[in-house]
Amino acid sequence: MAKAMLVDLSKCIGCRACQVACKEWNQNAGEKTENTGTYENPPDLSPQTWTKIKFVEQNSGDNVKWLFRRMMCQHCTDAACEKVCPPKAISHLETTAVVIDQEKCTGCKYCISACPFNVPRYDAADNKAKKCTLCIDRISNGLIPACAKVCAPGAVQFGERSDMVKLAKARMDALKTKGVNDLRLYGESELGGLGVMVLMTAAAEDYGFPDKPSFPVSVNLWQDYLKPLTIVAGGGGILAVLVSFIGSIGYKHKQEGGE
Amino acid sequence: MAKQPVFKDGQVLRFSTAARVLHTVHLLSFFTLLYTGLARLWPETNVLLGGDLLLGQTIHHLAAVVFIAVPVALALLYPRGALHFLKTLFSWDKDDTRWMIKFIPWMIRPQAVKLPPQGQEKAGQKVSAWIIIGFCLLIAVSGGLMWIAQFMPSELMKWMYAIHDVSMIILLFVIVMHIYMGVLFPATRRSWTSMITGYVPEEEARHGWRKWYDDLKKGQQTV
Repeated sequence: MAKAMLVDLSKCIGCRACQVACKEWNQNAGEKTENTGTYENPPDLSPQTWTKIKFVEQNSGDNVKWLFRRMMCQHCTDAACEKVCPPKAISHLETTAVVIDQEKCTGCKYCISACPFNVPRYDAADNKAKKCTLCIDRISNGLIPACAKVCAPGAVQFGERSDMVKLAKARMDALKTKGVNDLRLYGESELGGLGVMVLMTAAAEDYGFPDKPSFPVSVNLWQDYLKPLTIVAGGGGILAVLVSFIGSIGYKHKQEGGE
Repeated sequence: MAKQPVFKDGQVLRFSTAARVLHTVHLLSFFTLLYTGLARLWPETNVLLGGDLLLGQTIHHLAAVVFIAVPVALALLYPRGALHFLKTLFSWDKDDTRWMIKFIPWMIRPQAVKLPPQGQEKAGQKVSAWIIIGFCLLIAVSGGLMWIAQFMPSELMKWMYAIHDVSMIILLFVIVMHIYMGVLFPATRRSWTSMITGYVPEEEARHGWRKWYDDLKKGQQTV
């Protein structure tokens, strides 16, 4: 049975304990950053920061309303990064987690360009691409990911995918009765189903998520059509060379005049 | 560079020193780029560099600079030669069309096919040069952007990686054909000396590039 994570943004309080737990479990160093006038920190994902809460400020009358977005790898079922990876360093482990094998990664950055959510980051220090592993070392040993373990308001849940969907639907029904609209369970079916589903209380684009995340056209065109086509054409070319070479056996080059 | 005589010891000059230097440098840098590029994609092939991926990347970058800078520098140093080359490449007449129609039968059975007379470059040479130049431009631009990928929008880079990859495969196969024509195909394999010494046997030139050869004889053409 496939596992999944549910990030219930209606419960997220922006405490960023998930960020800390992630760094702690994965032994990723902290980063020195500058105050830019927001509680949001660090400014972006990095090779050392595999998850962070983005603070989206929205005007609501005279007040400012925060939307919290959990930035992390969404662990797509149809993972573009996996498809483009030349050394096949990226694979699905434990049916859900999309993991970059650090031994096999050659730092080519193809996955970085392919990701519909702009998640993997290039680490110049060791020439590898880095991102969230869904705590593969925990979930393969029966534990839940560090961020799910630490989330105080219970916004991050991990378990059987079907249970996570049920949990989300129940929560959405409860929110509806409280008059909260604009609800969406993001990732239930997107990209073959995201390993990290997100319960949203605003439009996906307000959070900075693509409304309809899709497998990049260029990746499909490249991997499914152009590459096979050019390889077939090239094979044909080599065959043509052979035919030509055999066909021209006995050819006498005219050294003396007249064609 | 020193001017070479057009006719010498029963041979005809086809390529200037500048053109041969460009060709040699491009050949060496292309195969360096090809190897270091493939060694990045399939690390098990990275044996020559002892598995050092970043060394491969550095060599790839250096070779890329040579690959791009040498043709640009030579075009700036010899603008007239470059212009003449481009004019030759993009000229086309009825004989070229007839040549292209007979190209495949000729490849398969050169002893049985008589080709129409050709100018300084044969129709097939022009077409292969268009493909080579076109994909060299694509691979250079996409590669340059990949070098600075972290500053580029990922929407753009999604296409650049694909273009770089596909251009490489196309160039590889065109170059396999190119080498076959130059050193193996019985009807044209004598022409490879032109890229080393600059000269081909006069008979070879008369046979392969009749219109160009006749113009040379009349002293109306440049090399």
